[in-house]
Amino acid sequence: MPEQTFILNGESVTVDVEDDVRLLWVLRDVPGVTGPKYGCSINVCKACTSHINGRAFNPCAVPVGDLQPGDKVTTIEGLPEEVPAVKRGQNGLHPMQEAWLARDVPQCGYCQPGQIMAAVALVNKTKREGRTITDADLDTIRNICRCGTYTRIRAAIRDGATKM
Amino acid sequence: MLEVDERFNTGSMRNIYSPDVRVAAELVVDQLAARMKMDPLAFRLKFERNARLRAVLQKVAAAGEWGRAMAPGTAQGIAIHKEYKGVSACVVEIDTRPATVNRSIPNAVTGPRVTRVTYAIDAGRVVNPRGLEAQMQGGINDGIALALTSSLHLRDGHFLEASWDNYFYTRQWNTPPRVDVIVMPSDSEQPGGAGEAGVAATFAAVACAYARATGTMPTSFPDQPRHPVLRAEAVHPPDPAIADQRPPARPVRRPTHA
Ligand code: FES
Ligand code: FES
Repeated sequence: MPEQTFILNGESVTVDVEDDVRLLWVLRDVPGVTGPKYGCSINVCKACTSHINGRAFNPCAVPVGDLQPGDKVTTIEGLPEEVPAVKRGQNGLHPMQEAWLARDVPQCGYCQPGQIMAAVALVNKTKREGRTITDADLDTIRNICRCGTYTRIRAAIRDGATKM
Repeated sequence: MLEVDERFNTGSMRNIYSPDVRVAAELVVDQLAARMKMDPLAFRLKFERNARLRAVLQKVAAAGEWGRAMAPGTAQGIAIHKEYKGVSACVVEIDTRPATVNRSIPNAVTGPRVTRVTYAIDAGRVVNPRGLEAQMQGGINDGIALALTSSLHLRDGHFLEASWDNYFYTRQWNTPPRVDVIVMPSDSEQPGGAGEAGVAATFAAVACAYARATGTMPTSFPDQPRHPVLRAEAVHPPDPAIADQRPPARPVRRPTHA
């Protein structure tokens, strides 16, 4: 089987998987990184949202063979290390995760890793554009939450953004 | 309400049939109030005999600024619900102006936007107020979906929808930018339910607000004539030959309350 090499949460990993296997299955089944959740596998629910080279992406839609050895894949497990230690909160987590805990956002929790990864990518995007997050930005988030936690998600993103 | 044998398996639905019944009742109550030339809140306060319901109505009307001036194409709606040993009331504000309805989000149902929801619940003895608030917030999003976006279309034995994505459960672009939940104080010993208690009054309040904003009486939901699933069906109409091959009828399964 072909070898696939990429950087996962700061460490180079090599796995033996066919090129056309979607990255979500590889992450969950080979190194056992289960933060990215399977909701639809057709890139509409966004439960699997993770980062590639700092941008949000959906590993259910990416064949593992499309990754380059230098590609940096970050899942919710690696999110705290994306900020310097001084920016991590009292639980040692990324400011967005800390904001989520403070606001008690999750209900069933299934969508929440994807929500947090989408939120961080969105805040980083608005920062690159030199502005703070608006209601219109929040409206663009596609991640489904069947429990309907959207209200606290919006509040937590605003809180988390101030500490990123 | 009509129970029909559509020859497919059914599953659980948050708040079962209460939202359907509630929305019909509250739309009619608003019509009665209009015929008597009474304000919807004043009408409900005059004829509602349950003191707990009058209390949540008054609370939500004050916190939700019932009766404040609204621009044409926008309106408030108010509704109540009583279930699970608790009572609740809801005030919503809706925007049905073309600039809002026609806002563009790729592969999404946009349409009218609920811009503000104020919800008061008396659930008896409350064990976890933050949890109760969270359940109301979730139920509010369910009620908005029932009124404005979510639906299934059965054609030739198949549903046109494949997932929550194109069932159009509420998403961020349809969730209200402002939601306030008020947990009423109670000296009751008895805890009431929370999980489904936010849906019915929200659905009804959104429908009433929509009716007032548009000057119409909606009779089916979601009121989305340009629903993307139906647009897709217009391009690929159902095959009449397939429609004749429906499986034989089997006994109607009665819904059971969760
Ligand atoms: S599982 Fe990846 S978007 Fe739904
Ligand atoms: S918390 Fe349950 S789906 Fe989002």
